Amino acid sequence: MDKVLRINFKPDPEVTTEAPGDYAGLGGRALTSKLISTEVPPLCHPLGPENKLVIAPGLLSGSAAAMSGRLSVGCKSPLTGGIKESNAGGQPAQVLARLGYNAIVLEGKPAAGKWYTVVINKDGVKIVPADELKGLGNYDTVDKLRANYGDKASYISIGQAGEMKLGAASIACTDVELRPTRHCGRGGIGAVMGAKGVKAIVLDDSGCKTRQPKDPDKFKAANKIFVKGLASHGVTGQGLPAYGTNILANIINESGGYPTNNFQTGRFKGTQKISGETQAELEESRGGKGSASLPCHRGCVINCSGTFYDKDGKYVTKQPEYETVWAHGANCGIDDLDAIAQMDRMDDDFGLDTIEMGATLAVAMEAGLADFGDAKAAIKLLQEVGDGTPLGRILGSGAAVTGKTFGVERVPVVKGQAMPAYDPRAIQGIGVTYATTTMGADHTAGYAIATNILKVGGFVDPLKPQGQIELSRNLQIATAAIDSTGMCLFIAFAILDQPETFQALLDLLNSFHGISLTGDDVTALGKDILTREREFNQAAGFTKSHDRLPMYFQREKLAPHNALFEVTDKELDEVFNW
Amino acid sequence: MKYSTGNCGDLPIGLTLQQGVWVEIPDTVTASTVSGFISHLLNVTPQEFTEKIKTIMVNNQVVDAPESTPVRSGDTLILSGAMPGLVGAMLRCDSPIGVMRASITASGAAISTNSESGRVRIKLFNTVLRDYGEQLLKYGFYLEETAS
Repeated sequence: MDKVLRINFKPDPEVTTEAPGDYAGLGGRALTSKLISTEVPPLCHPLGPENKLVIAPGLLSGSAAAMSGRLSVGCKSPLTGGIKESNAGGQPAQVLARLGYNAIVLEGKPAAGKWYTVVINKDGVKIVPADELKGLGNYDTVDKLRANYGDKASYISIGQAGEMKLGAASIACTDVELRPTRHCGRGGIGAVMGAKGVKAIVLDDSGCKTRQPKDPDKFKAANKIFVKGLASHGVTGQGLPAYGTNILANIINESGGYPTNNFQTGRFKGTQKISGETQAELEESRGGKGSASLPCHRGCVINCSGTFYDKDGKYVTKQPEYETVWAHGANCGIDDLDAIAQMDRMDDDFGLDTIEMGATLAVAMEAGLADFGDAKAAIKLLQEVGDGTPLGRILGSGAAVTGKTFGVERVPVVKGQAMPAYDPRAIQGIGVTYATTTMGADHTAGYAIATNILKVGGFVDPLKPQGQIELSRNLQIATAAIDSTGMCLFIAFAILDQPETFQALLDLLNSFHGISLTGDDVTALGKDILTREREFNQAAGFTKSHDRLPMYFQREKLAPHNALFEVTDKELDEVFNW
Repeated sequence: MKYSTGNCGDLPIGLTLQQGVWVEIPDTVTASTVSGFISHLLNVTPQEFTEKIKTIMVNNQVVDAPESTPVRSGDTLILSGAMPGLVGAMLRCDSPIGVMRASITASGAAISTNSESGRVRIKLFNTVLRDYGEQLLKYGFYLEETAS
């Protein structure tokens, strides 16, 4: 990867390719956040010409390294008003890296009503009108593109939500089966792609080779140990392939931290009907290709995904994830897996973040637009978003806007972004990360549980109780660094428990790039990313008051533990005190 | 309450074991520990216990020390394999990041919430359900009758 592609719509598209310059050696979130913090005015309107959309593969994407297929997308977020990095699996990261690009940067603003498809292959870049794609969902968009560009390409696209520039709009990436099921979901980044007038990006790496490491022998040996480590670990080798991420539902419910009926309680009566175990049993009984276990990109060895077919064997959607099942399930009081799968399909097709939309539907239910548990009504509300009705546009703008519009206080957001599937009153540590992350409420911001092994951001001695403030800080530093590698975060579990697997990851990075990465380097990288992101947000108007949970989490007790969020403001302000 | 052993007829057994069944506490392990009771119930060796049962809860509270946490009549016991996710990692027994869920960690003296004597409610999830569900069927358990 040795070039950055810039497409400036001013208002007609102008294509330039340049050397990475100051962005050389960076990937994923490190690159997107450095570019946004360097080139985007913090006070700009997210949908204006001054904002930029950066699409970047990871440091190992396009190589033979297992699990290296995450694609990062960054911009100033229309949902939070702050800096945003959102990432997804699927094929595009691998293909973009093999095409030799460190990043694609969309800039400027096109003439009103103009829509484009960007086509990138080994011969260069073409920008073509996308009039025939306008108004289509992601599934129809990809079908039309496949008819023109074939099944060897991979595709990035937005649905109707992105075209309408809604705050919950996502960017879809095609999976191995060429379905638009992998989404950079959070923060409304699909709206920014829509503001640039880009409906789709076609990536065709025909004639391109797999990226080669500097030290092939060491790289091959490290990859072998890495894969073996993932296969032998209980989470990555057994739990995730068998049950997917929804394996979490039962246990989070039992912990009393499974937000139910718009975060009114911490346990859901119907959890067993929508759990990962029940979902796996249903999918296996219905059968069909890839029903129980499936990778989201080539080179994935965990296979945590699957395929959801209806009772007649017709494809509905990919296996809905834990967050999706919770958001449209327990959080809306719905215990019907078929209805949840249908909503997942609608989210993917319209191009919507499933967490934001599930949270929004629950707020709408609290407002009286539907009853909790009424799946048909929830589907009808979601259809309003795809149809672009006035109500649909309010809902598609996210939970915070919906709460304001309908006068609801209980709106579970931080910095305007909806909380994921863990109630911070039951699990206080996750609340610290929700409150303080630069991204708005986000469960993956402090996800890299490898802190002890990595020794990044400070070593945590398991024998000595350490505060959740320090842990949250360390986890956020480690996660920011790992988000830059393009590796799937699920590798973190094998790294946590198996030092040889962590060493294999370091060996992969070092042998591929001919570097000698140390724990201190990783710490410095993670801190640099977070510092840049914090400075951008501060310049955009964020203060300490934005690093807080909504006050009702300190007032409304959560059953069954009758817990309140008790971490003090003073403690929260210490998270970024370095 | 109905007693069942060997098979469950038409019951969707996976769902039933997720929802929870009641098992007798034998005299020999009454007032015993979580690890002692589970080893007896599921016929697991200490090594299997360590490798396969990664997350344990008693009465909605996470157990860090199963060898010293008591099991009492009326308790609800949850058994799970290793979980993904930050919170999944927090909930593991003796997790290095367990302090982040300190408010729901068992103190070591579990509190009984049900006065029914001599029985514990047990729920099996994911890989534990898959690997030890059959053993629980052989052991026998009670089901709560639901109002029809």
